[in-house]
Amino acid sequence: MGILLRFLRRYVLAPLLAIAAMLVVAALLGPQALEREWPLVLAAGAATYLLATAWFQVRQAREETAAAALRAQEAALLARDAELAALHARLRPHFLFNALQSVAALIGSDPKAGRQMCLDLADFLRARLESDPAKLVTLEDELRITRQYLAIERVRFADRLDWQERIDPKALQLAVPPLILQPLVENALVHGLATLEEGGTLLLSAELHGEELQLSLGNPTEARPRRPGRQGQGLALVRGRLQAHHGQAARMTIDSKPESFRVTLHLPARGLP
Amino acid sequence: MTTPLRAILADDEPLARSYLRELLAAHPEVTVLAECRNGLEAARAIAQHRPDLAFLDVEMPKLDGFEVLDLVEGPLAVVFVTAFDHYAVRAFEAHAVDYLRKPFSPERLAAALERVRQRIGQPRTLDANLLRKEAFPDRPFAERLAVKNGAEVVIVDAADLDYATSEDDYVNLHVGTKSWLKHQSLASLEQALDPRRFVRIHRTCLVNVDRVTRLEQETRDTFSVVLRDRTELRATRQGYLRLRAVLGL
Repeated sequence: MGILLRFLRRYVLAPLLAIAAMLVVAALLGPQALEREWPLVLAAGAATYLLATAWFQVRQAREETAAAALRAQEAALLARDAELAALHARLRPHFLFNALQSVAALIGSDPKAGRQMCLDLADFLRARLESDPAKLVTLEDELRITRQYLAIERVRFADRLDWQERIDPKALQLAVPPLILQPLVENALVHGLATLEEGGTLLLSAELHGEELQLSLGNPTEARPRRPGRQGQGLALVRGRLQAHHGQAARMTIDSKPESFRVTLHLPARGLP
Repeated sequence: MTTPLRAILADDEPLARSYLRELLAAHPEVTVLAECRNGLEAARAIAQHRPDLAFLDVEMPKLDGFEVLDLVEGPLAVVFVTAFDHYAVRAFEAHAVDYLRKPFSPERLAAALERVRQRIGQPRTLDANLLRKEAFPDRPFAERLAVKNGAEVVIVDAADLDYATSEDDYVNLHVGTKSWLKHQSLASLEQALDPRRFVRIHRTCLVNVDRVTRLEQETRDTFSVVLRDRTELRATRQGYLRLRAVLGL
């Protein structure tokens, strides 16, 4: 299509314009003058031809740039979706196998609790599978799936896991990236409570500070955590998702003390689009 | 008549312990001497009861399963229990270590017990440090050392270790004004620690590079390494060069 258009412009349209220009100049000069001034007619034709092809070239370059920009934009969108999907799908296999281990144990000792755990696991997995990585959700929905996750881990941690929430009710309808809290809880369990014999309390808070929604999760840690490098994986994932959804408008801060760890997400306080 | 087995089991999750116990009930020849909630308890229970067999969860508070194994002296059959550690499983396979993957079936447990019976009495050649390095490739170096002190277990942070010297079959770990003897070779300790932080300056000495304040030449081939607390250690030429390289001199 592009090639045909280029061909037509250069070899049909431009020569036609040149002929038209020559005819106009010839008509203006009149038959007598034409005999003397015929080079002028040729010059007009040549100049018109050159101008026309130059102009077509400029147009073509402009069109190509616009097309390239469009393609780049599409690619960026595709890449973002792929990135979101990749970041989204990661569920630590540990979690599933540990949950199945708990179910296997409960079937022997407390079949009713075993059944409840199967149902909780199904609810959580269904909610995860149905969530669209590219769409923001309300904090209320995000809290629901986080609590489902927690219900499952609570069976495993038993009395080592305490959970507290301090949620500003005005924040419940604000938009957050989907599954942004669960990796924080997972991180707090794996690197925090699991390393502590007595366990401890996870504290989740949602606060409004002007135009900013702050979601934060705190957990106790070992006095000297022995694997600082490992803390990164789940949190890097959350940071990547924040970036993909909000760009520079959101950020994650970490407050690491000798015996406690707190992650805070700073998001623009907006409702669903 | 099947061989009686005296066992301990260690897992931080109560449900995982009760499940293992329930499945073990089908094997009356296995007596469970202790149920432990963390690695420290497991190490103590092993020292106290001297069981034939230990079921050790890999990830536990205080000490992990490998660190517990590292503290064991004398014969002990170990079955590691893990949820999903594909590196750990690969390491177990490579070193022919028995393991159970959660959730495991009664049949799988029976098979593990059968192998334990066949192996009982055979000397253990397993290097716990090597195993942990392979099982956790993202944290290949020990951040802490567990030392037996009588019936107690002391945990030494690697960062607190000033230097270590070899004494016969033991290493002497110098930590401030204290020192602890650990049944290990200096070469094996050197392997376990981060080579950017601990350097072998002599056949008998490994030093924490953070503690070094001064290096001096004594004779053509002997050097002295002075630590912050003014301790002087002897270094060979080779050791001196290694230390200089790590210090970036």
